[in-house]
Amino acid sequence: MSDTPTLDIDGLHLSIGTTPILRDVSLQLRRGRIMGLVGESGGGKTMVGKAVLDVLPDVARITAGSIKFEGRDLLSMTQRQRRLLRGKSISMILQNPMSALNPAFRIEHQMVDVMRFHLGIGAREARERARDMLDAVQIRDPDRVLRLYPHELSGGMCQRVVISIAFSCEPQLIIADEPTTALDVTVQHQILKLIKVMQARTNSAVLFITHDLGVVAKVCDTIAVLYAGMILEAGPVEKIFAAPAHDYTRALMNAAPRYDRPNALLRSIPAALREKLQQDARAYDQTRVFAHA
Amino acid sequence: MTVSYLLRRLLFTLPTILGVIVIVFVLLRVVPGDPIAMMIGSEATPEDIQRLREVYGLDKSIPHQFVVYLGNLLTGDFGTSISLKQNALTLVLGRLPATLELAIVAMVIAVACGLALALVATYWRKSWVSPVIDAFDSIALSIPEFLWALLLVLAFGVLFANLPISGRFDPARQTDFVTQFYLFESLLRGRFADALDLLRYLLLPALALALPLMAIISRVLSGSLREALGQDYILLARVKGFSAARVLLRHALPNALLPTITITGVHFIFLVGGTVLVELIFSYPGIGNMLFGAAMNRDLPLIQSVTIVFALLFIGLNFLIDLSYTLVNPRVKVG
Ligand SMILES: Nc1ncnc2c1ncn2[C@@H]1O[C@H](COP(=O)(O)OP(=O)(O)OP(=O)(O)O)[C@@H](O)[C@H]1O
Ligand SMILES: [Mg+2]
Repeated sequence: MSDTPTLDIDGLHLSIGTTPILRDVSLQLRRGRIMGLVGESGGGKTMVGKAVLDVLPDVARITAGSIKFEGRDLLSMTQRQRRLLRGKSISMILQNPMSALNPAFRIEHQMVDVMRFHLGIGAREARERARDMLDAVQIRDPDRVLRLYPHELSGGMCQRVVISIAFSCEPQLIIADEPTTALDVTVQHQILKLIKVMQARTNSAVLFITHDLGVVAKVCDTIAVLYAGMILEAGPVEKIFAAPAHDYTRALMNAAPRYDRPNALLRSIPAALREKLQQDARAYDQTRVFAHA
Repeated sequence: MTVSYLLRRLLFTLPTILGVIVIVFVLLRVVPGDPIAMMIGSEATPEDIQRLREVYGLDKSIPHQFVVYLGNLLTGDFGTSISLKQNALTLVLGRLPATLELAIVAMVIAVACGLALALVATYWRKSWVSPVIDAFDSIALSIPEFLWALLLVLAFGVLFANLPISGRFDPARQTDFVTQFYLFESLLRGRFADALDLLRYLLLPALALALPLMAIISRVLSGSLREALGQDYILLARVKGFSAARVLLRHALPNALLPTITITGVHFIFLVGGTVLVELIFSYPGIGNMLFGAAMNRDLPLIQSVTIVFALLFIGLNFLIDLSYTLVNPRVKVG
């Protein structure tokens, strides 16, 4: 087994206009591992995922750092090279399954197109594989579901379809951006289990974005805590849960967020701590401005 | 969609039709000017005029005239044209195909060019192309179709003079058409030389009619395309690795079309209305031109017929457009 991490982000800086969004983000993720990227809303978690996939908003610019995928430097690739990695080698599960599927097309169409595009297989074979994938994500009666439109499916069913699309070309890396946040509590557990099962099947690496430490404890091997675009601490889940080094991590763990009230998290971080972290971020930006001058 | 739904929708058009009939009748009786005097000129004696007024029923009271008029309409009798001395409805129906061909060709131009402009502007939305198309749309929109007609006459009739600016086809050409749909008929019968000639004559008036609608389509579709591109399912399409062109055409466009179809339907009706002035400017032999002639001659039966046929056309188009929405969008509840 080679020692090259599947994903290796080093010193990533990203800004929107003149506002820094990510500050010196570094993380490493190996094949077959699930890393939880936690932090509260607006911290920049989604930006990390979009930077890896090259689907950043137009206004966002990467100003420093590197992103390596299986040892290959993504930022020095052409747009086309990066595009052809998407869907095939790196994929993504979106937060809101109800809006992630195209309302104009049947499920079959949306599952088959990506496989035909990347795997060069025929319509019939792609359809067979789509059936198998729906089987794998435990959808009963896949033939019927293939014929349905997204608005005819429940949120949980949609997310199963989105997950099966993400895994359909057996990518080495999957960015799962809060894949359970938009779902019912009961469905959340099933979807989490499902992602774990699918990940084990394909032995992919998963960057699991969430604001929920409970979820991290359930599915992740390692964890990175992000606040205001800075990685506050990172390491194996057991270690960090047993002895969190950073005040913010400790506050997050005490906050014990609830599935049904994700916003409760916000209120329970002490204001003084939040203020100190914001100050750290500003101070950090200052040093960078001087370093550049 | 059920038959009873269709019937109900049809029933709703009846009051509109009746309203149009009443308005046409009233308007034509309140405007000044004596049609009979116009018709026979200055040498007529008052007795002649009186006799003709009786022939055309103009000597009766207004309510009486209305009852007669309504009864005649219901039996399909639209009267005899005063100036052309022929059945007014036959005259109008003989000209209608020319107007329909003009409107349909204009519509095709507007839809094709509007679609292309919207796609190009959206694809190159970060470059200079998009603001240029935007400016072009603004200009096309702010000039009404009859002004476009005058500008085109000026440009092609006077400055470049390489396209005909008057009439429907080359008068030197042999015409033995069975229907009045010259263009469609020559296309169907594979007579492409004829079709080409007809298209040369149609091009400028159709363009004049098409330009404002083209700009509207381009505007509305660009807007919905941009909105669609911000949706999650577009992010998923990009995550799948599809090219920007494929994402735009196959993933955004199908979702962005509905508002454009709605707007296009509504504006097609305005476009048909716009044919009146455009036909006049290009001496194009459609019912718009006929309406103008009838008005100049105070030819009441002909004016009535043209107006009512126009109104029925609008009502019919509205009905079809309404139906098409329910067909295009399966989520519009039929009720
Ligand atoms: N298109 C955009 N234009 C401008 N700013 C943006 C845009 N997208 C995100 N941002 C900003 O970037 C920052 C990071 O956003 P990001 O979506 O990565 O946060 P997040 O950690 O994923 O939050 P959430 O838990 O709400 O998804 C936020 O402050 C946000 O306001
Ligand atoms: Mg996010």
